[in-house]
Amino acid sequence: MNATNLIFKTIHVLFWIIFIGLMVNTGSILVAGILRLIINPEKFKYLYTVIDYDKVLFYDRMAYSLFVACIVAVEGLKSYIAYLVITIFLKLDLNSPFQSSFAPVLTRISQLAFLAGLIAAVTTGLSNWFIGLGLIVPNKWGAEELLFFAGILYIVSVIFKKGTQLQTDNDLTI
Amino acid sequence: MPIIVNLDVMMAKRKISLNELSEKVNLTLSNLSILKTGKAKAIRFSTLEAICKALDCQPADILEYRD
Repeated sequence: MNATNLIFKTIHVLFWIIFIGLMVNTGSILVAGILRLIINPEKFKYLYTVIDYDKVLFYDRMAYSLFVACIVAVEGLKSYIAYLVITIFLKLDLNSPFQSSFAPVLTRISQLAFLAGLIAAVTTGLSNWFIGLGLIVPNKWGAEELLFFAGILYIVSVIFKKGTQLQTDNDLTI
Repeated sequence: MPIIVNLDVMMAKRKISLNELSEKVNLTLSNLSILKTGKAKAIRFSTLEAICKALDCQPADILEYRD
């Protein structure tokens, strides 16, 4: 039990780090993307970037905007998922883990992961299109992993919901 | 739920308080309260047996079916 508690505390701390990292990443991409789009891109040459901005931006402003929006959406959804996981850790009691408030959060995480997976798939499609045009952009946005994670988590949330009902019945059995 | 728990009626008939009953049947006050107010989802045979023994009654005196 002590080992499990230690593992859970470590994962909790890791999720805080992941959450902060993802928030910083999302904010950086968003701010850098907007500044490059509305102000002179050359001025913000050295700002945080995950894409070969000048080539894409000079190729098509709309495509660039859509690309940045997709990346921000995926990263934003990932950070929101990390935040939801932290809220679970804050309320988690290992002696009675099947709390009714957790089931909707798990379902929400699976829905958000599915949405992030779909947007990541669109981003990958855009990346492949840019690559086809000769531009150098990353094309791995983790769509498959997110969709796989969403599917697994949906099954877990359904089982968890049943576990919650069983625990409530057990608590009300005198 | 159509199953009615008449524990309070039997307790009144036997003139026994909730504290006394909880000591006799070895149940917490909160669990007995859940049972008395009809919030319980199930009752164990061992609990029913202990209550019947403590109140000197039959299960039918405690549980009743009403449509």
